[in-house]
Amino acid sequence: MKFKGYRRSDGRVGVRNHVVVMPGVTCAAVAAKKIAATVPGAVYMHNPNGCAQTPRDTAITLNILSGMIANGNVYGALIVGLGCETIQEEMYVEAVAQKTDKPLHYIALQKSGGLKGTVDSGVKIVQELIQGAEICRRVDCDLSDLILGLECGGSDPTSGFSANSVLGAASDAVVDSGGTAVLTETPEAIGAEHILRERGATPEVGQRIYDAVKNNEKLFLDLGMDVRSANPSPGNKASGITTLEEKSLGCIHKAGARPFTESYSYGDMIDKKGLMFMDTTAYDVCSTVAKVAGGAQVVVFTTGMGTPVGTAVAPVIKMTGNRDTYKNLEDILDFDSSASIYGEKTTEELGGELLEYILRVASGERVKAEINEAFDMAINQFASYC
Amino acid sequence: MKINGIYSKPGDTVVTVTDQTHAGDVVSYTSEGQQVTFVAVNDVPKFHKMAIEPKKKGETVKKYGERIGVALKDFAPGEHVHTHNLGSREED
Repeated sequence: MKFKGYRRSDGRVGVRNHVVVMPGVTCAAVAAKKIAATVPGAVYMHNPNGCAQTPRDTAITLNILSGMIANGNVYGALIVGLGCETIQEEMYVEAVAQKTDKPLHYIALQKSGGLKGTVDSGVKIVQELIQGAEICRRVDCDLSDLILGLECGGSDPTSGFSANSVLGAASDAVVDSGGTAVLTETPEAIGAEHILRERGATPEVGQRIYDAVKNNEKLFLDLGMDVRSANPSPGNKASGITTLEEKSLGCIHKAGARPFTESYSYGDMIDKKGLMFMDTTAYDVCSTVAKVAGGAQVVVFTTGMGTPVGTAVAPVIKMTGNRDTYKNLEDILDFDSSASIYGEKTTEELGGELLEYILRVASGERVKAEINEAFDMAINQFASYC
Repeated sequence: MKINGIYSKPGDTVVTVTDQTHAGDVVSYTSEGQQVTFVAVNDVPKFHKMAIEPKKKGETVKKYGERIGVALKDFAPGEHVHTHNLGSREED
């Protein structure tokens, strides 16, 4: 099965051809937003950090942001810094250069004549980037070129029975065709870690996933906090999910039935084929962003109660197995898998339909999150801002 | 009879109702090709769980063929199973 994508000089494949404008620190966001809004075709990607973080959190921020820019969906990027912040120009340039050779430009507001001077300089740079991007053409790409992100949020009991199972069938098909799928959201594997351990392609990979899940709960317990006090959420419970174990066992259906080839740290670049695990928070935006920073060009996000979340870089397909939710929230949802709840279609049939839709999206069809310009951004951190 | 319950895997001790269910309503589901029916003891909201096995306090409750928690108090088949009688741990 094929889709029409962009082959990049660094070997990656994209399903979009974005020119990204990102603030190097939140303080410079006003300039970056104005630049992106001035040049048709440019996309603004928010950066909630950039300063006043511990070295450990600064490294995480850099890893995620450079990963987003390195994603195959991005042609090139302009970073608009302030000038005095923790993450300086050379740190961004080096972090991005370690992952890709694509065009990257940097300007700093304090050295560019204030807001107007910065916007004028930035607009010129972005116009040139857009001209370069317009030369790129979509070409035939294979499923083996695809990295599919598996995400769930606002779950209800239909998520485990329908949407996650249907996504699992599509994930299996991608993996069977030589492609890649990535499961994240470590706290939502608590109670299902024994199953994931058995699914490691090797005992070592299975054990690393198991340890990531166990360490996640321990990390919070050591701080005197219980993950289970925040998860399941009030909405999960109102919809009928009682315990975190129940939620987790439903969540892992997204990852189908194939063995896990590798286990990655938060936001690391995915450099192998097959089914992957990535150790992330359960916070949807954070977890979705981590997969995109890891290279996922398309994310499928299952939901029971509905959510409009998207990213500036990768299309986020929203699907639900709850027919009422689909009818009520159609302007934020793309795919209805509820036919499997009522025995009208099998999980496998719906998985095939979902895969066809994923390929259409990969070839350029816009999803609701893109139409709605839901370009969300969050990056995990261990300490508070300092 | 209309199927209005989901039984996911062998070993499950609960089913999930696919309609708003009231006390006295019949819940019907398929288990390994056989149709099984229970009468709801109390109201069970749409997509919530209903017991199909009696449980004593501290006993394991299963869905997807796996442990989803323990009974926080005794309950009978047909009863609504949720946060009032099911928790991750007995002390919940």
